[in-house]
Amino acid sequence: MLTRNHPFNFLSKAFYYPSEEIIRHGPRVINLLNKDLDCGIEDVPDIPATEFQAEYVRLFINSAGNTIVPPYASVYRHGAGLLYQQGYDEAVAYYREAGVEPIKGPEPPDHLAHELAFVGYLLETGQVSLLDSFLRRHLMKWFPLFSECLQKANPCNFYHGLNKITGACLNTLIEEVTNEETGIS
Amino acid sequence: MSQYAMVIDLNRCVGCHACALACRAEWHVPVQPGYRRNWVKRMGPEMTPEGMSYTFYPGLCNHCDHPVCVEVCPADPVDKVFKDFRTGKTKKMTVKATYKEPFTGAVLIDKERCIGCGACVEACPYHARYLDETLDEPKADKCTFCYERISRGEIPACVKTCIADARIFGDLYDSNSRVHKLVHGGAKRLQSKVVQIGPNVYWVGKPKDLNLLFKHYAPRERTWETVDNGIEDLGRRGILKAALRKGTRIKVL
Amino acid sequence: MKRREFLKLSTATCMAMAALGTGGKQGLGGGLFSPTMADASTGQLPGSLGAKEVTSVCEMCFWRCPIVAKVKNGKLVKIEGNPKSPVNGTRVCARGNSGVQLLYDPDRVKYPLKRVGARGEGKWAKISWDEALDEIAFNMDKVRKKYGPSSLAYFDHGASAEFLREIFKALGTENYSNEPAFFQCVGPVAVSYMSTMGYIVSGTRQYIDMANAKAILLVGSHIGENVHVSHVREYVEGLAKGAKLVVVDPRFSAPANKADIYLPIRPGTDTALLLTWINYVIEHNLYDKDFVEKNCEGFERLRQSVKKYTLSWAARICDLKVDDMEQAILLLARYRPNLTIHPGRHSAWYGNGDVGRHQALAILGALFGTVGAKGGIIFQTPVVKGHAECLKCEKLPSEEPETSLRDNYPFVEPFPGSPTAAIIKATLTGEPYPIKLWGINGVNILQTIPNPYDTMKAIKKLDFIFCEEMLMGETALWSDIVLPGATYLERYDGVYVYDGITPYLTLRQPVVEPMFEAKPPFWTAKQLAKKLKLKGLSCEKEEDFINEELKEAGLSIASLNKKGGIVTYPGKPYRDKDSLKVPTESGKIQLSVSDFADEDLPPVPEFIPAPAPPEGFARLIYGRAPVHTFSRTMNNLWLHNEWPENHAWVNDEVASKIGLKDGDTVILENQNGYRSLGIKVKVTPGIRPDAIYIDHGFGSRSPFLKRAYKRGASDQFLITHYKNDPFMGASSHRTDFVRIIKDGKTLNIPELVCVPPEIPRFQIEQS
Repeated sequence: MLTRNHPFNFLSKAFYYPSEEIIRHGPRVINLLNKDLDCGIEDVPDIPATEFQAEYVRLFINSAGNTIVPPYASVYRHGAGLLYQQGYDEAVAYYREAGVEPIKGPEPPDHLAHELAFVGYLLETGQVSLLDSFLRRHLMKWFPLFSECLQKANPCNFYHGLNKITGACLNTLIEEVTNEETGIS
Repeated sequence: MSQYAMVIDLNRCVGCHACALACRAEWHVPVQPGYRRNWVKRMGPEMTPEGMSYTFYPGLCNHCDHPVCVEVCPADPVDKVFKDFRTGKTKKMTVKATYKEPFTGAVLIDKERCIGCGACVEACPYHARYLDETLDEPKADKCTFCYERISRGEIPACVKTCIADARIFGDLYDSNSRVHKLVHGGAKRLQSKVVQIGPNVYWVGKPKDLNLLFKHYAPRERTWETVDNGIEDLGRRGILKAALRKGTRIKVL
Repeated sequence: MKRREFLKLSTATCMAMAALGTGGKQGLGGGLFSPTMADASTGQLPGSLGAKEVTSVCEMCFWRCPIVAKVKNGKLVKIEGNPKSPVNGTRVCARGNSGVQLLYDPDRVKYPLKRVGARGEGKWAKISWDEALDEIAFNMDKVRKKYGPSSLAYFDHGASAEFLREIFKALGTENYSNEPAFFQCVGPVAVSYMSTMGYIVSGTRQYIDMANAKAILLVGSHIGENVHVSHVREYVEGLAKGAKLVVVDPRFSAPANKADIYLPIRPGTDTALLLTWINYVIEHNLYDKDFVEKNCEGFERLRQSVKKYTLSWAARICDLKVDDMEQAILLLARYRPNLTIHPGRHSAWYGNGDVGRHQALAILGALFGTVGAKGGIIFQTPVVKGHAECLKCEKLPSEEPETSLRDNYPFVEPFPGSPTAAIIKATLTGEPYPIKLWGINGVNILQTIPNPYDTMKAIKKLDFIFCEEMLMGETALWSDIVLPGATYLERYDGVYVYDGITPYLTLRQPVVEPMFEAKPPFWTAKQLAKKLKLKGLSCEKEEDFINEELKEAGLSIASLNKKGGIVTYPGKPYRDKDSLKVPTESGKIQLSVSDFADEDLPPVPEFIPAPAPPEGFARLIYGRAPVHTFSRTMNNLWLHNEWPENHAWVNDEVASKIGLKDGDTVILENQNGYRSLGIKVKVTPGIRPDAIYIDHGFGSRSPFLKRAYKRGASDQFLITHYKNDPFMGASSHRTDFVRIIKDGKTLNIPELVCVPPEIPRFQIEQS
């Protein structure tokens, strides 16, 4: 069982407001992941901190026009368009089933960063059938919508790369999990 | 014999839309074009033979005596036991995925059995139903007269929030009910010569306002007659029905 | 995945991730999770059934209906009226029902934001509260030292904005509390009734008894389109009990549809009609002589000055039929004194003559003896509530400015703060003194105050501007710092008392914890006071001052909650006409106001014609969409869905003459050449040919409001010419004119009703 080398904690952190570390090292990790996973995205250059943060705010906090990309399951699930609706209930139910609860913070726990970290946790603890259900019935029901919106928002290289790599990781994972679940290996 | 009904008093209604929003809030109706259980449409100002009118059409499912939506439901009938929440009496009936509940006359949908084919949505001449395609498996949805609430001693959400007390709800067959009195006092239901399926929502109002309501919203098309239920329907509904005949449930993604 | 990596990651990648503290096994679930403690939730009832109930007070508008919030597992699922409330019971309006959407709007301002691009560009960085407040305190201090205390201005609306107002007051400025409530809305009507009756019969509240009226007169009030739940309920109750209704409005509004007599008056001539009616009532002895003799002063002066206003004159001025006007006043007179002469609310219409118009309504009410009568003007029943000392903030020693922005307005005294128009002018011109810093709380000044183009220019002159907002409106877009405000569902405010017909005391309290980093304004003000080293705002938390305020009523938060969140008191709304004493100096109703004469203003209302539309234009009039509040709810998911845009009501004959069809998209252009965004036309016989109506608040210019952005047209952005009321400085809103542009072609509005010579025509300034 895979316990160490999964990228979901990184992806999770990268979907939060950019910390100094992410600003400094994030682009390099994206470039490395790109190479490993063969995603074929453009190399991400270093981005000045102000630009990096302003881009994050524009995309995920208070964005302009129709390109706003709220990173919350609730917004996309069942066309709710709002926080704390059914998508949130689903996420929280999965966390509960896995025996964990989100640590209280300013962000709703159906934030993509939480959900990606949760994927990492399920991998680390080998809860494969729960992971399968979480991906199939929840995360992958909304991540593609989110990803499409993000793409349309014309994000800077970093968030473009992060989007592609997250998609690639989730898609690979879902295949693997299916194989595991159906006994094909 | 029981039939729940609603009377909407246009003399009291100010067109505030609280009913529509309370319904959406209570039942989490997604915001998508045409998705609503309950609505307010505005009409006028327009000239009528009785004078200028600027009035409203607060509408909902009519819970008809002859529900054409039930007729067209292609789901296989099953036996189901119903219980009267007032008397505890039970009754067994053979019903499809949508049916007329025997003790209240409310037309309801069994979400477990609905295959999401949309036949009932097309059939309703009042456009009171919508197909909720935001669900992982689409289902038809509409007003239930808040059956879930009334069966627990509450009143419908729209009635509870109506700021003008313009919505009167109750049993049409209870001669002491306000609904009974208003209906026997001349409240009108939205029908036309062509469409007479026994709706159970009634309106009272000035002649000019009822004139406008009937002019714009009395149904004039026998919508249910054109619902294609044949095997030759190769669309989504055909596939769903084929699957149904084979006795398998398929997931619609 | 047995013993193999599902993704082949290179050592370099793994090391790089580990260096970021994001390798595998970094705490439980990336450090974002902890082992579960909570009990699994049990089977739930459908909808809002079985939810925990928390009582509070709505703030989707400022009517403040008592509510209960239904909460399931920490989530707000629904809002209903508080069943114990004597005014609304279980009912809330469309907006009240949609409070859930404000709370859970993904577009909310979530964190303190600092502008990193040009003003208005919309480029932000997220910063900490500490940094944000440091920045604000630093700039307030700097501007105050450089330009003096009066260079600070504060625009605010609503109870929660009062905490921050204390800070501005303490810093020594009087340019605070420029509530749209007074200077764009209720100022003139408040002055009229204050001067005539001695109390504000209409301000935030209207002290009238429509539920028991036998007849109701509405002049330009559209109850039902303007939804204040208890007000609507009283009106509907009155009508249901058989009250006759007379509606005066250039547009066939929702109440016009319910009216027994509808008078489609020429805009700007309401006072002519009212003075004519007053004259008619006196001449035909239809008034309550006994009441007037006992309770009124200045009758003779009134009688003399209204003599000239005859029905035939009014017919020409108002474009109404003599017979209709006469029938209406006879109908009203028949039911005196159980008669509601509605005082109106939003009264900043034409600048000149606004006070007079509402004074005329007050006089008519007095002549019919409706004051203190069932169905008429009622008296307030004071409800006891304490004042918390710990909310005060000590004023820093500051020099008074030589000239005050209040100086030009002799009757501004009862209103806190300075007229908005004067503040904007001072900011623009630096006269009489410079204003260099604005704080904004709870008001979208660009969609509220006339001539937003000037407002934008003024903003560019500022050294610093900050706001506290829930949604990114236009004003936030132009701010240097934006603070995320807690919604009414996440905070305490003061104790609310209602002193109307069914008095009560209730409390706004948080129903859920604040989302993201939103903070209640009390907290913000307290932190800012600390940073500015001001003395005061000493209570630790909101509960402290609330309990202090409740103590005098013999209550505490806990005991109030035990009683269902609301306590009611017996009302004493009526008075016998023989023992009537109004709270004016003499105890009598002033039919002629000598205070006005002392300031060279007419003591008895006179008809001051509002200039008629220039050739090719129609007057722009506006009103409310019943599902929206000001410009603040247009982005609300549910309310937007219910009423996404406004329509321009155009008279059917006008439309057919200029080739407009129902549903056409057009642009409105005002007399100064300012153009609206695209708006759909509604062709109807229900509006006069010399007016075009749109609902207020649409046509948002903030791209941050993704739903409201560019939906419909904004009335405010077409109101570029305004006059200030000479009594208290309110800015007029009905002094602009529009024509239509369709497919790039200008369509002049044909003049189907001729303008009498007594009404001057508006002269377009040649620039």
